[in-house]
Amino acid sequence: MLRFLSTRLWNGALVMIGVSFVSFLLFNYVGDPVNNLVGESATVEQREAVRQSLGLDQPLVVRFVRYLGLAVRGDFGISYRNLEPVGRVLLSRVPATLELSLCAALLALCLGIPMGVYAGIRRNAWPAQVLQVVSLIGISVPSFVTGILLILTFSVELNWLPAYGRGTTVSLGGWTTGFLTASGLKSLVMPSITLALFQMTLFMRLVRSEMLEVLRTDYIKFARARGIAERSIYFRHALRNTLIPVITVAGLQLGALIAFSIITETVFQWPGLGLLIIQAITFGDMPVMAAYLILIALLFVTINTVVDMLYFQVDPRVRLK
Amino acid sequence: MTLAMALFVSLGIVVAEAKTFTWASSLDVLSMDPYSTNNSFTNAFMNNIYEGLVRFDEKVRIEPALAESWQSVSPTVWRFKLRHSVKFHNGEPFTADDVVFSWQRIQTPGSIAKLNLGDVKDVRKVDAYTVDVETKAPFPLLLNELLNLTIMSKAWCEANGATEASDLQQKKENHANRNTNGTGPFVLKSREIDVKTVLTANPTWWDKPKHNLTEVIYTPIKSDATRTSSLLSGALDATTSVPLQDVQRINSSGNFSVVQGPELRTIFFGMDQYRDELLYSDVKGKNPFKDVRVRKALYQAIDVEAIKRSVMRGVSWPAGMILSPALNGAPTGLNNRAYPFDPEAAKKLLAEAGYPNGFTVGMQCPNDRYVYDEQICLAVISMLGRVGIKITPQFEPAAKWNVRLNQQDVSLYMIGHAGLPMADSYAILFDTVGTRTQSAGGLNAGRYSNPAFDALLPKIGSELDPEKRRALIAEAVTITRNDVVYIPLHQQPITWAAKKGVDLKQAPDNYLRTWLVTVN
Repeated sequence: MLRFLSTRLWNGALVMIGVSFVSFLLFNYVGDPVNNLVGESATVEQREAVRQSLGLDQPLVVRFVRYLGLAVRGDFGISYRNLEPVGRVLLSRVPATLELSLCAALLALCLGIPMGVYAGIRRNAWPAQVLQVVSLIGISVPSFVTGILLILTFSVELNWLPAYGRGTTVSLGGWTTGFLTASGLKSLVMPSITLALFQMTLFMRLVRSEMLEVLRTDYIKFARARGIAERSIYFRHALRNTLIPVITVAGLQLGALIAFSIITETVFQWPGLGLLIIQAITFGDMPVMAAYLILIALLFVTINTVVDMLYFQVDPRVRLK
Repeated sequence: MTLAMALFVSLGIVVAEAKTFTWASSLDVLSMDPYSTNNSFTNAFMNNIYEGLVRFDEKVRIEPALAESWQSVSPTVWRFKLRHSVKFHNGEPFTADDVVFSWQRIQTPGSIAKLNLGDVKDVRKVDAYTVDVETKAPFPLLLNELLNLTIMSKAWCEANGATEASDLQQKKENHANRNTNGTGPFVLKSREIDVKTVLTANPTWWDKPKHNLTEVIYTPIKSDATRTSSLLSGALDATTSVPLQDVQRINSSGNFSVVQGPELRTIFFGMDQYRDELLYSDVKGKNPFKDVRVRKALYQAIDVEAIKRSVMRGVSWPAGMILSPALNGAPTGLNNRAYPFDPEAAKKLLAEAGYPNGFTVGMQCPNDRYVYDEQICLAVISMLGRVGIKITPQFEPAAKWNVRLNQQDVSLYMIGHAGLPMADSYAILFDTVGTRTQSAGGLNAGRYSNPAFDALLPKIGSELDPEKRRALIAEAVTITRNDVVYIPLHQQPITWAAKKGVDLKQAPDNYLRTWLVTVN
């Protein structure tokens, strides 16, 4: 276990350095922050002066090494867009994104898995067929369309839910939460559904096909032959064996929910990391982009390590090897 | 006290009800430090809190603000009489020391707003309510330039360690980046970046308010569809930067209406007139755009009326020059199209210039910068195709397109200019037509260069007589028209929307002046 973990950590560190370098390379292609700062009327001289003061005239490698040196000490610089320390900017956005992702993940798992189990067991019943068709829609409609449709229905037509933002938030020792106010909870509904829809249908389809697979195996047949109750067969034997791929996918998807909630956050003006990064990209706010990518890489590395450790618990075969 | 209350009640005077004005646009204010950026949205917003010696009204005309009056002492020295009994939001009195201090603070290394004050040499205190402003040379636009010197409190900045402008290099945050203390019509109450900024009306403002607001809530909403939907859902009183495709929907809703007018910004096409071999083209060894006949052919091949009709949904103002007729000093008589739309004439010109079959060239366009920028470029591509010029499109986000412009990595490119923040003709001519050097022609990516034109620039820059100055500008504009330095298209529309009963006082510089807004 320990050796397993240390290999994982070593791999993780390599991934992090790789990601940060690649992201640094990418900055050459996202544009120039200087223009957004100096305005359109600046002369060549004035632009150059600002570029120099930001160190943007240095070669890429020099900038990377300098950046890494500071980043290791926890100094990610100052955001070009709003002149605040990057660490603080990122941290202030984490609660919004985590709360949204948590709601979406719960929604996706709590609805997706039971639906998948049902569709697997009663695959010929008409509700299962309906689920299959609906899930196709869920998987193929892009989330900005879902988001806008929800806004048009529930904000513009019915006026039940707010179209943007997090509502009123309460600050608990630096963590701003929307869970404690009515407007905060109302604001969570549409973004959570929008973000969860894809994952929910994905889980449903995955669990369904895994269930079908497992139900065909010999040990299920033998279990049936021994006269074990159906309930026990489905949930103790079949479902448990479908969980390995589900955990893998769920882990990756949780990362994806946090990292790629960009579209959902933009549609609902949800003040989380996704909105931050899209604005940083449009502005050319390199310090924020760099720190964000490192944070996301860290997130994926952590999640995958945790997922690998969960295998240990769920699947005895991993331990034997 | 009781007597006064009784009097109020008996006279039927009712205390005005609280009026909150909630509005949205696509961007957030970058910083609360007015000197730290030169972003036009930020500048516009910060005028709610910080004021200059002068300000613009809704017709972008200069009017007195913190200065009551001014007069010229010598060609390079202007004397400003400051308004008495003006108070900062924290109650401190405003005096000449604050003006001198603000001038010094705007000169500090982190300041980017100083770029707009390049012609001012010094600001000196004469007495507690008088200051002298000295310019480097006789300078007719001093008042317009002083719009950018918003006044901060000396005592407050000193008390909070904010005597220098926020500096990206310092790697630490400045107190003034989040906190404010101005003299303006509104006081900052709270700010959450990318969420909302709340202002309350300043009860001790020196001016008699034209607005009737008690609170202003600004929310940035990046997504166009969400912004319009939020307005229609009743959550907002007004939005700016409304996409043209939503105009119909908003107007037909019954409770909301759209306000549209021409922006100062003119959109035009530039051409590389410098390289010996054109980039992104199949013409080798020469540059067709160096030939005025080719430039004229492109001009005549583009139908600006068709662009107005089918791309801009009827709301654009076709232009004959690269500056808006509403700008200070603009020669309004030269805004007719210099050459008519005539594809046959264009083909003939191309044949005369040696390109009977046309040629291929790349077109650099932003796709998130101007109103319908990408769609305009697509329309122009098909128009040019009809005279034989085949276009390789290079459409990019503005952040990338800007880099191209700065590096002159262009062949045929779209660009716009509004002449802001001064709202004067000079900046456009200086930036886009003046020969590109280290200190001039910053936006002249096509690198047109004409000594006769360059000779006019310093004259325009220093002519104090408005009529003579206008004649000089007309002369300069005539050169750009005859030489087809650029192909002007139109002034783009400003599109705002509001609840019925809300008067936004739209201005052609696209600044929402909250202190002029009334809500019924």
